[in-house]
Parts: sequence; structure tokens; C-alpha cells
Amino acid sequence: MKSEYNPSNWELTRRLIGYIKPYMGTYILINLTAFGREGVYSLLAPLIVMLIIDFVLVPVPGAQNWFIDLVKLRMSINDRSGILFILVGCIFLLALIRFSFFVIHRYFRGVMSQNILRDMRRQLYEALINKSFSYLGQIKTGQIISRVTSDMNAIDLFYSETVRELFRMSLQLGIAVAILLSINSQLALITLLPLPFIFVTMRLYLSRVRGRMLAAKNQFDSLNSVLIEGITAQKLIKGFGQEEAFAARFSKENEAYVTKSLRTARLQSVYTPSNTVIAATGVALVLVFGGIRVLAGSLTLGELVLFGAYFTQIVGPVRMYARLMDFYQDGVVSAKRIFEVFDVGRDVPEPEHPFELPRLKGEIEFKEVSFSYGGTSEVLRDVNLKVLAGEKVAIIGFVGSGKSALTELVPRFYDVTAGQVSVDGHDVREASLKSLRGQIGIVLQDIYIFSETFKENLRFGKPEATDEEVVAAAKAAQMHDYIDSLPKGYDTPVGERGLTLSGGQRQRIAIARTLLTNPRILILDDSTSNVDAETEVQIRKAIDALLEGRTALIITQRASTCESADKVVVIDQGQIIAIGKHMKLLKESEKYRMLIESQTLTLEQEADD
Amino acid sequence: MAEFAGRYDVGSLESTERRFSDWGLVKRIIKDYMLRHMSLVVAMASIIMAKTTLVLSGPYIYKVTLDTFISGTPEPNERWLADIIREIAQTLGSGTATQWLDIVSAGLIYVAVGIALWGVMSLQEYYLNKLGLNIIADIRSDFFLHLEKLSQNFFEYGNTGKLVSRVTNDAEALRKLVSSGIIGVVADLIAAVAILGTMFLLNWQLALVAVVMAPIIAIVTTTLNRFVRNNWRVARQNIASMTGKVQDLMVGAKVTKAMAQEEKSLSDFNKVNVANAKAQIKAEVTANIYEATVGFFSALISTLIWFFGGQQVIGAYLAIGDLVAFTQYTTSYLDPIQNISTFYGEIQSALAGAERIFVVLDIVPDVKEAPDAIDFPEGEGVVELKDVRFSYAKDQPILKEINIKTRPGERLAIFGPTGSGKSSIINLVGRFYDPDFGAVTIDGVDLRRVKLKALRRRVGIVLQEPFLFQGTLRYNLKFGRPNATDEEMIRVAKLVGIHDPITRLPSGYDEEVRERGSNLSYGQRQLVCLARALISDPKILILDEATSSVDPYTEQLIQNVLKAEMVNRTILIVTHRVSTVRDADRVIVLNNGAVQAEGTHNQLVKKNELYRRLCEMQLVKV
Repeated sequence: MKSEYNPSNWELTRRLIGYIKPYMGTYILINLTAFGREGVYSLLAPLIVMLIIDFVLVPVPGAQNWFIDLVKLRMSINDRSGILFILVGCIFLLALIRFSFFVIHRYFRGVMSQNILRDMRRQLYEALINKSFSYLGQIKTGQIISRVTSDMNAIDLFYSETVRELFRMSLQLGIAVAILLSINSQLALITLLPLPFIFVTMRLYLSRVRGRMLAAKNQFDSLNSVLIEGITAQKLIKGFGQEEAFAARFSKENEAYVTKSLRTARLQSVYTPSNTVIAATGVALVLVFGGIRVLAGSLTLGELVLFGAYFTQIVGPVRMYARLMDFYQDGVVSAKRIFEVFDVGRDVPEPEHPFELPRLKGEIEFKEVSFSYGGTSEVLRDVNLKVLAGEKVAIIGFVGSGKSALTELVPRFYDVTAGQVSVDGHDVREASLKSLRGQIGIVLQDIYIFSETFKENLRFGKPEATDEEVVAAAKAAQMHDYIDSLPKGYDTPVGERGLTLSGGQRQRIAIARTLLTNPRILILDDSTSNVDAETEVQIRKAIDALLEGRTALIITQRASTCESADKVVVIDQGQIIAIGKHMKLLKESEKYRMLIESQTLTLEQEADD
Repeated sequence: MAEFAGRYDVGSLESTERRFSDWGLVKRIIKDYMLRHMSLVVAMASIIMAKTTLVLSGPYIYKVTLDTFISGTPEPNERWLADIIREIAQTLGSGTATQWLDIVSAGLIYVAVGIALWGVMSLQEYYLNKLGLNIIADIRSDFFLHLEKLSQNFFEYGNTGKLVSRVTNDAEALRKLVSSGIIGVVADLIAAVAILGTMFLLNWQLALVAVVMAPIIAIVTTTLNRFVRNNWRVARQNIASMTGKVQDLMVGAKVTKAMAQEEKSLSDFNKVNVANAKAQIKAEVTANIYEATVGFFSALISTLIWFFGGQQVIGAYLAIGDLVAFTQYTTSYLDPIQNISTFYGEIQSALAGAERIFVVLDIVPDVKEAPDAIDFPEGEGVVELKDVRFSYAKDQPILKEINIKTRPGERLAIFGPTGSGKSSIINLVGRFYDPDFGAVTIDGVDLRRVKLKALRRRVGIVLQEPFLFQGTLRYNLKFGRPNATDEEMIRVAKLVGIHDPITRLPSGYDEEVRERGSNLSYGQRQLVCLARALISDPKILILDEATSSVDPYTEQLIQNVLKAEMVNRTILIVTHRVSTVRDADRVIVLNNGAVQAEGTHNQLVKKNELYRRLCEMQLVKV
């Protein structure tokens, strides 16, 4: 998934911020509660402490305060202990307020970022499911898994930390700076001098870290891919006794991930705490220039202490900025990886003005069709074939001749590189994908069974199917008796990737699944049929039920299938070399004879016996 | 293959039950993983010490400067630092010192401390990352290696998507546990203890107030703890099932698209997606309540100190300056506790992740190498199943009293209906499972007595599903014997007829195989897998419907190749295709887990009804 996809940070940020729109209300609440959570407490608590000192602990003679007067008047409390108790109680009350704001604030924050993640995951899934086969064929599961998981986590931090804190921190910084300026503007300007350096270091950092982060994340993909492979293909690995070699391969990726992550960490670890120097310089400036002013008498000691106290309020946000920048950068890099999936790989697009196919008769026509899988040598060349409605066509050929490619063009798994494929006279590229694929049933070699119940698997193509329909299809496909014998019947879950089913059972599930959708055109690959003596007749029945009244393209290696087909197409090296009835081809096509020979010989011998 | 007999049940792996205590998990991480990187741990410890000192020294320098040089109220115990500052000032002013220079040099020291702090923090950050990454790499590696050891049945019922989530998400969460969790907590505790010590020196009565609250906080938090952790565990499981869905999509995309069920698939995913978002929010909220509670208590402590300290000031037992200093210390004492609670959510999430990993790590594989396992003696490759009984689940016998013995150099076909136990025989000969009764032997040696590696060198298995690994075709072909030469590889590739198609690819043998590769057809991939097994040079070759998608003509050629290649070797063929079985030296017809008939093709056609019927159906007359 290396591509030219390279949007700027700014574009990515804008796009990320766009996701907040539906949750604008929540976002505003987040910022308000953030202020309630920290603002109220940090603004008021120091004031109360001041009151405690000035009016209770070291009473300043003659000083007046409306709040203290209010307490004295309304509650008729006059002793110092009593007022202390009230004031301390106020602090406690503020803490309670902060406590509740905190919980509310975090709740909204969680709601917003999780909702956005949910939207984004949904979009990712939607994007994936609408991708072309050539895209899906290239992309690795590991790449996708890490996007759904670790990249989403990075984006979570972007929303929950960066977006929110940036606002609050800026506010806090602004207020603190304003206070400093009001105390002593000259001193304030001197001490704030180091602050712009934050932005200089930030720029330096951001420009360097992005590439390293991306490298680490991409390495994480490779690591995940090896992991997934190690898990899915563990039987093979064991079978070959290659556990150690594979483990070495895994270790290599694992270590590369550590190395690449550390490369990012090295930059981060220098940058993130670098603001302590800027902050320390600021404090030192306060000390030196403020101290000199105190010595010169232009500043009181109290003012200096106050100045120092407020200056430290700036340090917090400044330090936080560095952290936020990390979250931000991390989020943006992950966003790039996710948006890339959204934006790239739509080479079998839904037509601009999709034509809704009516119920098909089932005619298929290939006109001068050539095809290659993205850049590799041509798989099909100048194929012309016309299939009439209801015709059963057997497609036979040597391994790698292009049989599967031919059939995959009909439901538009791929688009032709030249020529045209049409059904009932409509170019498949003009039809809406749903109306096209919804009328084509496909039973291929690689049968995928979902890790759900039998019922769910059977009605996969027609979710609204009734139980009766499901049972009827299972019966037609000769799966009913077996499923029914299970303790939980149709509600029995099937193991992942159908591992707990035999090949024959999987095939029959696929047949039943396709029967339910009642397609007009069938694409069938009967070469993997794990038929055996007992079920051969039944499987035949199942397939016959499937074929009845439908146009069918049957990829086969079986002589018996060819014999019963209306038409046999022999493909060799991407070209149709013969078309005709079984008997005719036996006489005319030498290649056909080669393909059929091994299946006829024995019976001749038998006949001779 | 047996249906639904779970020796391992995904359900129980994914249960929400607690299996480890927090402390048990932390102890295990420290003992098994942190101690492996002792030097990094020691480095971290010294960095934390240095950092604490530097952090505490900044305000001290500030205070001393203020007291000594600005307000002119020096305290005797601060003299040593004041002297140092004066000395630096004198060097700066080349002998003549002014108050002005004193302050400047104090400022310089302050900046120097800041720079030192930067350095120390950089190191801390770096080593923290390094330690975290290394530990996580170790855990991931342990997990992975353990999976490779686990027996077959674990995978039959395990959901790979969920396993993947464990090894990616959960391991990543663990990294946080190590960095912000264990190390962060230790650093904070050190700081807390140092500050508490200072507080006791200042005023022990007030210090007691702060200390007394600690057990109350502890009780409240441990109560909340349960909820927090449970919620995080649920959240982690939700992520896992979402990952599973996405993996399902990736593998099953063809079916989904072929049946135009994109919308349904999306709505299914969305259910999991929404559930996940809800679980995450719930977990976060409970974690937040926890954090807020700790914040509340810290405010309570401050309040109490202001109250009792205030009383003392009123009673003139305490100077106002000391009270102010004390409250400042209280905040910094509570800071570490606040920090711990801030990371508490993360830590809990990580602990839930750790638990999910350790649960798998603790599963003991049931096919294990005997401690005194032997290498295979040289032999002819005779496979024997003696009185073998086998089942995946207790009362569902798959094989009943099987007796099969191959002859030296024989090509034996195993033939039988669905569920007859064909695949189980392969699982037993490859020792992916052990029989319940009886023995499987090769050249008279019980498989349970030999080293697994030796066994698998001897037995080559080609499965029906032609799985190719990521990497080049060369890597795939040499997978079973990486040190095979290119000549051998090409020779075998030519034999099975894939050399030409491979050379037509843009990069030939160096072409990258795609995951759901479209650069080779299904049949061609089966041939690559067959070549892979031949290159690994086994004494016994097992073909499990290995050429099901290869046309009969090519298959015939390959059968002849195998005959020539496997002289004096054993071939076990499991297939349904008569054209494949026909050339075998002997055919065993398996039915219902028992041997029903055996003989050559010609014999069976005559004596076995089922066999003949099948032949008639598959073959055509001319």
C-alpha cells in the first residue's frame, strides 16, 4: 500500500476536524465543562486562600472584603475559627464542583471521540467492502487490522487530547499572560521572550518526525501481516517443521519495529522535555530582572513573588503543548493511513448513472475481450463467446489457462482491459453493481464460510429469507439432514473459515446459499467437489436443482459435466480454441481429448474386461 | 473432520471472568519481562533519582536567591548554596562581586538545572520507550512462539481475528502498562515518599493528616477498581470481535461482493462497531469516576490542612510562611497520586490486555514432545496405524479400530465419503493430534517418541487449500528447506509444470506472492504447494486433495513425475477423484471411521459396489 497518496498535514487536519461537525454540540459542551472543571477552581481557589491569609491568619488591619462581610453579617460568625471553617468549606465546595464537572466533561469527551471513531471505522469498512478485487488482492490483512486498531487509537488521542486541550491550554495561557502584563508589562515582555522558541522547536520537530512515525507504523503492518500468517498458516509451518525459520522471520519484523519505533522515540524524547529549558529560562529571567528591579526599588518583593507564581501558570500549558504536538502528529500520520484506504483503489466503480437491470433472461456475451491482472501478462486475449439464456456451458482447460478469469468478468470482479462483456445486451459496466451481482450466483473453489451459525451462513445472500426457505434450500443442497442432526440445528455456529466442516459440506452450504438468492446466471466451479460414493447422487441433485432454468458457466475438469453440458468451451493460454458439443470436440479437438482422456480410459478397459 | 467438538472453546477464552489478580499480573510482567532488561531497569532507576533531585532543586534555588540576595533575609542552612552562587558571581565579575552579578549567576544556575533536567528527561523518555518496546517485543514474540507450539485443535476452534487482536492491541496496551504504568508509578512513589519526608520534618501533626487519608483513599479505590477493570475487559473483547469482523471481511470479501451483500455486511459490522463504542465510553467513564474521586480526596486533604493548619496559626503554634510552604508540599505530594489515578484507566486497560495474553500463554499444548524424544532412525518410510481410535470430542468417535500399513515405496490412496475420517488420518500421521487409543508408527517407531522436528522433516503434507506465504515465489518454494539450491528448485518447478508460468511473471521467481493472490491461478498455486513439498524432500508424502483444481491431464503428468521422484518413498493420497486414485498401488476405502475394503483400482471396481458406482458416475464413455 505504498502510493503517491501524500496529502499535507493541513489537509489531513482539516479533514479530521470535519468529523467533529456532527457532534458540534457535544464539542461545545466539552469546552465549557473543561472551563468549569479547571477554570472555576484555579481562578477562585487562590482567591479564597488569599482571604484565609489576609483575614484569618494574618489579619490586615482595616481591610474590607464583601465576601467576609457577607459571612459575618448573614451567618453572624465573628470569630476567626468560624470564618476559617466557612472559607475552608468553600474550597471543599469548589472541589466538589470540579469533581462533578470533571466527570461530565470526561463523559462528553469520551462520547465525542468514540462516536467519531465509530463513524470512521464504519467508513473504513464501507470503503473496504466497496473496493475492487484487484485492490483487495494486493492489500494485506495486517495492514487493515492495524488501521482498525492502533491507528484508531492514535486518532482517539487526537480528538480526546489535542482538539480539546489545545483550546483550554490556549485560554489558560492567554489569561496568565494578560495577568502578567497587568502586573508589570516591561518585566512580562522580557520574561515571555523565550516563548516563541516553542514554535521554532515545534516546527523543527514536526518536519522530521512525520517520516519516522510513518515508517514505524508501516513496519507495524508488516509485523501484523507476519503474525496473521503465522496464525492462519500454522498447520503448514508445523507440517514443514519450519517453526524456527518462521520464528526468525517474525523476529526480524519484530526487531525492525522496535528499531523503527526507537528512531521516532529518539526525536520525541529530545523534543518533548525541551520546553523545560524554555520554561526554566523564563523563570530565571523573572528572577534576574525582577530581582534587579526589587533591588532598584521599582518592584516590591510581594509583586515579585506574585509574578513568579503566575509565571509558573504559563509553564504548565507550555509543557503540555509538546505532548499535544506528539498526539497531534501521531493522529495525523494515522489519519493519512486511514484516509488512504478511503481514497485509493476504486478501479471497478459504480457507474455514474447506474442502470438498474431488470430480471435477466440470462444471455451473456463476450465481445473481443482481453484481460490482464494489473500490468501482468495478458490472461485472456480476444475472447468471443455468446451464451444463450438457459444454456449450460462447460469451460475446460489446462491449469492456468484463464478459465476463472473469464467467469470473473461477468459479475465485474474485474473489468476487461479491452472489449466488452454484456448480459442481456447491457454492458456490465453500465449496470448497477447490486442489480448485476444480485442476479449472478457464484460457487467457487475457495468457499468461505463465515464464523456464524448455519442459518446465518445459508441466508447470507438473502437476509430476509424465512426459516422455511432456508430449510428448503438446505434440503435441496442435501445439507438438511446433517444440520438437523446437530444439537442446536440451524443455530449451530460454524467454526472460523469453516474449519470444522469438510470440503464437501462447505460446497453444499455454498450451493444452498446460492439457491436461496435465486440468481439468473450461475458461475460454478465443480473441480473441488468433494463428492463421494454416498453423496455423489445427492450432490448431483443439488447441482441440478441449482442449474435448472438458469444460465450457467461451469468451470470443470470432469468429463461427465462436459458430457451433459449444452456447449463446451476449451480454453488454452487465454484463448478459446474450440467450442462445441462433447462428442463433436472429442473428434475435432486434440487438446480436448488430452483433457478428457484420463477419465475415459478406464471404462473402456472395464468394457473390455 | 469432527464437528464442533471444542477441546478449546472460544467462548471460554473470551469470558469476562477474572483469572489473575492485578498484583499477580504486575508481578508476572516484572518477573518474566522487566528483569530480562536489567540494565535498562537500572538506568531507569538512576534517571528517576536524578530527575527527582533536579525537580526539587529548582524551587530551592529560587527560594535561596529570594531569601539571600533579594529580600536579604538569609537562613543559615541555605548558606552553602548562597556561597556557591557568590563564588560563581566573583568568577564572572573577575574578582569584584555585586548583588546584581549574584542574581545573574543564580539565574544561570537555574537555567543550567533546567538544561540538565531536559537531558535527564530526554534520557528518561528514551529509555522508557526502549524498555516498553523491548518488553512488548518479547511478549509478542513469546505469544507468537507459544501459538506455534499449540496443538491443532486450538486453532480449529479459535478465532484467528481475535488472536490477532490479542497480539496487536493487547500487547500494545501492555507497553503503556510498562511505561506509564509500572515505571511511572514507581517514579511517582519515590517522589511522594521524598516529599512526605520533607513534610514530616516541617510539621509532623499536619503531615499525619495527609497520611491518615491514604488508607481511606486506598479502600475507596480498590472498591471502584473492580468495576473499572471489568469494564475495560469488556471493552477489549469488543475490540477483538471488531477486529475479527474486519478480518472476516478481508477473507470473505469475494462472497460478500458476489452476493451483493455489502449493505448487510456493513450493518453487521456496525452492530459490533456501535457496541464497541459504547463499551469504550463506559470503560472510560468508570475510569474517570475513579480519577475524579482521587482528585476529590486530594482536595479534601488540602481543605483539612488549611483548616487544622489555620487553627495552629491562630493559636500561634505555626508561622504563616510554614503553613503556605506546607500546603505547597501537600499539592506536590498529591500530584503523584493524581498521576497514578490519571493513568489508572490506561493501566487497567493494559492489565486487561495482559490478562488476555497470559491466558493464552498458559494453555498447555496437548501434543507435546516427549522429554526423551529421539531422532528418527533411517528407514523405508513405512506408515502404520495400529488399532487406532480417535475422536475430537468424547462421545463422537471418528476413527474406530483402524489398521493400515503401507508397504515400502507404496502409493496408497485413502478414499472415502465425507466424514469417514480421511482427514483425521492425515492429522494423526502428521501428529497434529494424538490418537486416543492404539499407535501411529513410522518405521516401527511410535510418533509420540520422536522429536516433532524429525517427524516433520520426514513427512511432507500438501493440503487442498493452496496457502502461499507473503514473500517471493522463491521463498515459498524453498519454505520447507531454505538451503535448497536454485537448481533443485527449478528442476522441481519444471517437473510439476510451473516453471514456465513463473518465468512469464514480471520478476519470475522473485515475484511477490499476493495475499489473496491473483497473479497465479488456484490450480497453479496447488502446483506451487506440491513443488514446495517435493523440494523439502520428505520420505513420506501426504497429498490431501492436493491437485483438486488441476486438470486431469496435467495431474496425470504429475502422477508420473511423482512416481519417478518418489522411488522408495511412501505416498499417501487422499482424494475423491477416480482419475487420481486409479494409478495408486493400493486403495483403501474408508467408511464411517473403519476400513471397508482395500485393493487396486481394478480389484475394487469388481468387488466393491460403492467404488464402482462412483467410477461410473465420474467417468464417461466414448
